[in-house]
Amino acid sequence: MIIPVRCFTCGKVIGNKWNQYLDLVLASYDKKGAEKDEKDAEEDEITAEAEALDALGLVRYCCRRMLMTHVDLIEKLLNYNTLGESEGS
Amino acid sequence: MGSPTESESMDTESISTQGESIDSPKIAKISVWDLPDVPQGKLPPHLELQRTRVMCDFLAPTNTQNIQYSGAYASMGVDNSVQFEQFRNNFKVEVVRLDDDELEFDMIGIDPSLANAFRRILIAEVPTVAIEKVLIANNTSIIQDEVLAHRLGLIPIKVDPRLFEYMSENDVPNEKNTIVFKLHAHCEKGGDRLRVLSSELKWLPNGSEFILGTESQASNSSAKPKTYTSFSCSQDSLPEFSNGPIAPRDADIIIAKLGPGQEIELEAHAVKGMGKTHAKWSPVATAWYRMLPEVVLLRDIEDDEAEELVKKCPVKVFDIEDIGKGKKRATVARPRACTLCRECIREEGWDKNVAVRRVKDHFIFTIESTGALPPEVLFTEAVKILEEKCERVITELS
Repeated sequence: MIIPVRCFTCGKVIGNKWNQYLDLVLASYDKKGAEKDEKDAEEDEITAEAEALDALGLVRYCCRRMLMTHVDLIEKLLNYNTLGESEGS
Repeated sequence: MGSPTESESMDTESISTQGESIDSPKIAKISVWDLPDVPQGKLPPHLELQRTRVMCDFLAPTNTQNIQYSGAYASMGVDNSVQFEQFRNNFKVEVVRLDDDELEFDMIGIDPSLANAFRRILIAEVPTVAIEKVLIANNTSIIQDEVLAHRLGLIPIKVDPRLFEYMSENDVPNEKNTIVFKLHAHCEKGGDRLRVLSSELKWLPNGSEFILGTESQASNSSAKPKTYTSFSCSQDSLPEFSNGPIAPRDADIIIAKLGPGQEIELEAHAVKGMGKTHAKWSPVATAWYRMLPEVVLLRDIEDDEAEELVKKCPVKVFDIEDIGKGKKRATVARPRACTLCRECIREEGWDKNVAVRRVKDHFIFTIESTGALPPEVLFTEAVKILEEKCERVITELS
């Protein structure tokens, strides 16, 4: 639902890395998209996700999966907020 | 140790000795008839290899056991007992890498049981301070109270746990065993969503601000109203905490997300504890070790074969060196990088060219701190705890 504070397996703090991860992945996709026209994707190409995780210093696969497989559902759940609406409706 | 014994049982292939004692590429078993009549006081190379190395063969690792029995090699005139003097002379610690949160060092000449004791103590028995009780005054966010409390507990707090006492069941929370934080976040109606970060946890050096509701209000109107903690003095007046306020190590951990109109108001009480009670008190984001990999080329690998070998290794253990006349030879350049994936010996016949081994008493130890204490301090703390345990055993026995 919301990014866990720590990696389930090893205990590394990941709660402060979700937004950086998103930014890095998006930036990498933008860059890669521009490059794609010039050359076709090579087989050994490093994915945007891998690049972002390396940049965040997540070396173990336990921490990497925490970010890779996370779905930030809280952003969707916050759409069903009754407190934010004006009193009348 | 000398060069390997030349005997008829050797292969016909030409073998180059690289001058390393037990790394000498060819270690065939020596026939009993070729052993010296009188014990020489040292083991023949193949037994020495079995004693000190784990062989990572193609199918499975072999020789994984440690030979503990003191008289295991008595017939060779070799004493296998543990000698304190010998341990003292041979034991070495070499720091490889040290930064704020991570320490990598080599621990050489130690038994795996002791290396593992250090690892387990680091994970489960070195104390830290973590949030244990959360008093929630108001929580209209969509993160449930218990989930919120759990998330708060996992936030590493930068404070030296040695300055605090454990709080046992009947103890009253006081300035020596409790740290109190306050968190009050409110998202304005009609505004944007609000991210509640760990930096919003504010330290209350005077203890809890929540008034204990059970007391009758009139009786103690003159005195200071009773709160959930009974601090006799403010924590920031104590010399230990004069250098800066106590705060979470990372200021940007997302605790919750609030929609417009939602609010969280709470007080968090942090106490000292150990990782064996709950992982939130573990001072390390894992501490681990691996045995030193040893990669040995059993014969000269040249030209095309050398290139093939370099390509086989995913972590680039091998390099190519020029040996003149346009010839190239493979060398083992970075054995430490070896992950023992055994990709280099997977293809048929290659296990005759390359041997992948581990050194049994050489541990590459890595400590990754969560931030309360620097990793080198954590290790010395672990050593102290092990020492204490040993002393306890000795006093119990005597």
